[in-house]
Amino acid sequence: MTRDERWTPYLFLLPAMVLLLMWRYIPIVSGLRESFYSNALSLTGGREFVGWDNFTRLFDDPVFWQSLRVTTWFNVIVSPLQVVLALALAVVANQALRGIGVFRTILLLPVAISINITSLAWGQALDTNYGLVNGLLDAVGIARQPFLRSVDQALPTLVGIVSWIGVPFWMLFLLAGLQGIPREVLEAARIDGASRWQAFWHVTVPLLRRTILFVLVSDTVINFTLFAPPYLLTRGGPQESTNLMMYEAWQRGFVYGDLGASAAMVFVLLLITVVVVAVEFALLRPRH
Amino acid sequence: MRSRWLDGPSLTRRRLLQHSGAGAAALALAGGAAATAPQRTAAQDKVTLTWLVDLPNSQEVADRFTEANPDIEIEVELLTFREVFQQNQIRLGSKADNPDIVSVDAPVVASYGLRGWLLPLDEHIPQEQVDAWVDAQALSSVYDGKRLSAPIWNSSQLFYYNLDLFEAAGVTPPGPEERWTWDQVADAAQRLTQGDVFGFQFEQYNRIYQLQPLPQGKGAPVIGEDGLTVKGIIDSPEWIEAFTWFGDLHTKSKVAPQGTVDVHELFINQKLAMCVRGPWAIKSLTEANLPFRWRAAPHPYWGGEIYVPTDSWHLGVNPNGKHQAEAIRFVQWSSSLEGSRVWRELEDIWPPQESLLEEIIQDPANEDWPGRAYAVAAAEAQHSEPRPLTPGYLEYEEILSDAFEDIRNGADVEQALSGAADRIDREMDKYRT
Amino acid sequence: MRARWGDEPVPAPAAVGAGSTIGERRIRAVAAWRSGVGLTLQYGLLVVLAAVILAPLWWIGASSFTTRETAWKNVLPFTWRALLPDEFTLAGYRAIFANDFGQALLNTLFVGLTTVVGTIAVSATAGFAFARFAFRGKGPLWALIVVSLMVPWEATVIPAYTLVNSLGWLNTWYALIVPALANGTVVFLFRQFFADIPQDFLDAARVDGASWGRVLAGVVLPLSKPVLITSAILIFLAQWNAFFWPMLVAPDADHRLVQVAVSILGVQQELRYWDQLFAGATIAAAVPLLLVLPLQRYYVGSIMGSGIKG
Repeated sequence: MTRDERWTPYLFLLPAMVLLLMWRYIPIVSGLRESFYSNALSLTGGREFVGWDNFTRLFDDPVFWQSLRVTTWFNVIVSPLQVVLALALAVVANQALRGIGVFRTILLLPVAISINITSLAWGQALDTNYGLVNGLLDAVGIARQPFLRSVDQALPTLVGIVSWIGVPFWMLFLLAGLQGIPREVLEAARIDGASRWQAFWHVTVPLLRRTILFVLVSDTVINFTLFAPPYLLTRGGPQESTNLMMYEAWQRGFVYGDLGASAAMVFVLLLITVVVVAVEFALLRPRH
Repeated sequence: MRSRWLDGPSLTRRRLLQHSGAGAAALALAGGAAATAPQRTAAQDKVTLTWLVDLPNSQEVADRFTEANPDIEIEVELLTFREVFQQNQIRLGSKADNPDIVSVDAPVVASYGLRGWLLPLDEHIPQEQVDAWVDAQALSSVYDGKRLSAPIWNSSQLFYYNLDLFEAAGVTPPGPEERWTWDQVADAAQRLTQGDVFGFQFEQYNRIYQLQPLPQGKGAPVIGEDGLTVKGIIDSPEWIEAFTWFGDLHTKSKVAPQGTVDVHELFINQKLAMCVRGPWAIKSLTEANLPFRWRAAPHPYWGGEIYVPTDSWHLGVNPNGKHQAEAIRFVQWSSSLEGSRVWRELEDIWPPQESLLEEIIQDPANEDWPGRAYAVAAAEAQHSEPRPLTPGYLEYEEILSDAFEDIRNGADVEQALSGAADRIDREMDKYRT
Repeated sequence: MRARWGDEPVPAPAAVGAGSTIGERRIRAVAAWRSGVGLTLQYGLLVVLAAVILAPLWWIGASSFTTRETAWKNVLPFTWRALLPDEFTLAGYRAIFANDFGQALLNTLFVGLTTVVGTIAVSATAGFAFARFAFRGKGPLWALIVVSLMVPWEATVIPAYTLVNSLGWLNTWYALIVPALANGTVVFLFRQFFADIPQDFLDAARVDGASWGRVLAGVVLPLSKPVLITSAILIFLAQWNAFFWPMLVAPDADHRLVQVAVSILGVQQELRYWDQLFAGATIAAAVPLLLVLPLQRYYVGSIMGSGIKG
């Protein structure tokens, strides 16, 4: 290699790496630092090293624990549910049925639409007073439901709305994975006497393991740090039943002006996310 | 404090002119030049001030100021009410020099003052100008002995009702000077609720702003004497009683709609017989040319002391701004008699000056409906009561809002209020030093 | 995998001969019946799913063409008229375009296209380096790319805002474009794609004495249409649908992007001009759809590439 050659890759990498450093890594590090530096009145300009102060304040606060509980429940349900539904949908969309192309196109619609338009659409559709869904329920004689207005229904409803985008989106990846599996492999399994279910479970799923892992991990990261739906639809309520941690962190930072507590909360959230992702890796890593 | 007409000509003309800017900026970016906001060519020798606000015709008002003060131009950033607060938090909190002119809701003046986000204006606003404001507004503009803001608006709430629905249900409505009690409201609501028509709702059913008279009218304070403590205050028997009444409207008698409610929409579609709204509703109701007769009456009470919600936008000056002297001039003008007349003309908002309110009451044009409603509203201003003065107002309001929502959804009132009290007190801790 | 519930394969026409026994015919009839039920079930499922996806979108679209006063009229009690504009009007559209919505569309178009070009320029070069060179530190640098995919953007918004502010970039195009150029996903996509290009193509070009930069621009990129289109769609959609960041760093009317514009359309405290809001939402949703649908082959296609190898 010439001297010129040796430097070529670094030159090629330079712009992207500088941008990444500046706009991803520096903010990450300074965000984490913030949790040890800002006090509750940080916005007055008072900034000093406060050690674990922000964390102890957080751990003393029942609102934090409630938020953690909500975030945990939400995530225990939402990511596995989305992956399973996305896989089922991918199987359906992979059928050689007449008109399946139209269906695949329809499935793409939520993928292109922003979360705030989605929230607007579903927020209105599920409205207690004028919502389309309650109108339909009325028309078929079922009692109106409060959906986002009820302590019991709000979180499941949020799971549903988020999945409206999430399931078709992750389906795309799984569908791509399915299409990458050679037909012969499955046919061979069937000839050996495996039922469709057995073939799916023992041949398809193992071959899709890497894709499923990718989808599950990405979905987990997105759902742990979900912000827009509670912000736009429920403001964390009713009775804090949808008070996801990212939203609570935003409230503390931007509404109450307590950047220290906000940063500490994000820190805790990232830590949890990393642990969960690591567990997912450990459980689903392709074994050879 | 809130406003609602987007149908005005608003910010269009000038923006379109400037806006050959997108292309120019693209070229500038490609060339590596500074891609700042496109400069107005005519503005070279002028100072341009920035201002975040939610009142749709603010640019028109600002332009009127520029006509008289050609050396100052004002660029309005029109945002929603909620976003103005958030942007203020973020920008003022990070010591940005933008906006120059700060829109600050009256009860938040203390909060911004404590954080050093507002320049003291004492020397710049003549005493006679201050004396002209209604007392509540003058009071809200001071924190820690310093005048930090100036009111551009005043608001008092009215009781609106649909006369046709009253007649159809055979209910006698209150006259224009007759003040109903809340119990009369609840009774009438019961009789007016039929089919898909609801009896009554507050326009701001989850904000302390309009709900404050409920506990206050029962003689209860809304915050402790230290301006911070709420435990034992907002979960007192009077509060519980007041909000049990409020909750029952939604969950027992079901005369008030639950969920997200667009009170204006319901009212103009004759699906709501009565509501409490600000004076800003008068213009939109008049202009809607409704197929029914609506009327306004004084704000309801419990039968004792009368409290009517007030407060509104104030303006202040960003102490990190680059053009403080010019910003002060605009703030001073906006809250003067002259400015108030312009605001009233272009935005139909309520002047903070007693003398102007008196003019509205005396105006012969306001003797008949719907103009009569203006006179009723102006007369209500004398009962106006500001919201709690506390540096922690944002926390106070936000957490109470959640509690009010929960009560509307049927949560236990005592539990909701005492939970909110704990939460607010915890957030207030940071102000206790 | 195909025809999972389709059960027994449909017999080839040739097999349905005259000589088949009654038993055989019965078996075939049962099979046909079972596959018929399967098909009906599958189509039923598809129709329900399609309805769930389309209903709220349809409703927003339909409501955008009706008057503000009638937007809610037919919902409770529900009538089928709720799904069609009650009184057809373009008033909502006219109102928003009179109120600078067109400007927001142009702004977003400009920001979107600039970001597409910029991101592809820095990401394709980086992806090429990772795919085609062996160099010191490659592993750790690649790890930096991958880890950046794992940290959500929302978690870093406050410090990023502080950075933008200290650079004096508030309310500038820079604030909207530059941070978006740092896009690990696109680097990832390009690296995966470039890794599959046969070495011969590159060698041939190098023999001709072309620099690596010219090889990338002149030989590699012309071969990379699918990944270019996918990246362009991903980047453009991200900018088109961005809400939080633009609201934070550039909310003034000169730089307002479309989602921010929608969020304030007709919203003034308690009063909403629903027709305007729905009209804005319809346009905001229609543009990315018009972009994605004709190009869906590419969009889906190279997600495939990244997903499987990821």
